[in-house]
Amino acid sequence: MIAAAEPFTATLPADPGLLRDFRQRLASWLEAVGVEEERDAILLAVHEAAANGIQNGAKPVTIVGRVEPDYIHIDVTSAGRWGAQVKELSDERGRGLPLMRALLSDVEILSEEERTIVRLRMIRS
Amino acid sequence: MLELPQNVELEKPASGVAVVSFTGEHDLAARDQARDLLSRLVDEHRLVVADFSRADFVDSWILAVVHDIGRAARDGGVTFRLQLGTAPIVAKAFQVSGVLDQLECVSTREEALRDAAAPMDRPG
Repeated sequence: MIAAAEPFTATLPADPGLLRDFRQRLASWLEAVGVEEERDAILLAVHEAAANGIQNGAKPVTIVGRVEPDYIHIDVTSAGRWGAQVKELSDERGRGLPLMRALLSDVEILSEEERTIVRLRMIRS
Repeated sequence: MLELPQNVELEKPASGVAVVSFTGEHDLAARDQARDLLSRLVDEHRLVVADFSRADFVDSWILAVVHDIGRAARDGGVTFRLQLGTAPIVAKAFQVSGVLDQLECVSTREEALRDAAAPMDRPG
């Protein structure tokens, strides 16, 4: 386990074609901070949050990950409020939020005036 | 000729039967292509197998496509089977999203192609 690791930061323009490279970068960071067993679940959950932000807004999505002694935190911030998006996610067209919550036990959505933060927290194994 | 998206292979092992194999990663960026391909195959065949056993990654947009096309196939009298393999995150994504509850899922190509012979090809 790495005692102190550099935070992960990424800014994704509203282009779904960039998601794959983003996942590769995130996978490398997760590997560097010692995440093994839960790596794929974290990758998919963060991807879902980022992709939803891209799909629902024209502005870039920012992703920040940081390591603490017992937890890994990843915030995915996108422009706009998720009120309408969460409604959309409940229908058959979108399964992102339920998928995130099924993959990770600690998923929080913070809706602010002009942005939404999806906050993911994982226990370090 | 049908243009295939990246990391997609198409086989036609029998008349009226299509097997489309998704390898590697499939996400929002490939959603529309996946929907167009599967929709067309369902329109033109009586059995369609969507094989994700060699896929490494699928997201909720691809899951939604598979769900929607599977339902459309059922409504149209077309058999639509989902083949999954051993990639844990892909199987888990299909499972926790509820898509598996809605579709016929198999683990081998033999199961996927059972009853694949056209009625006129069957002996007896």
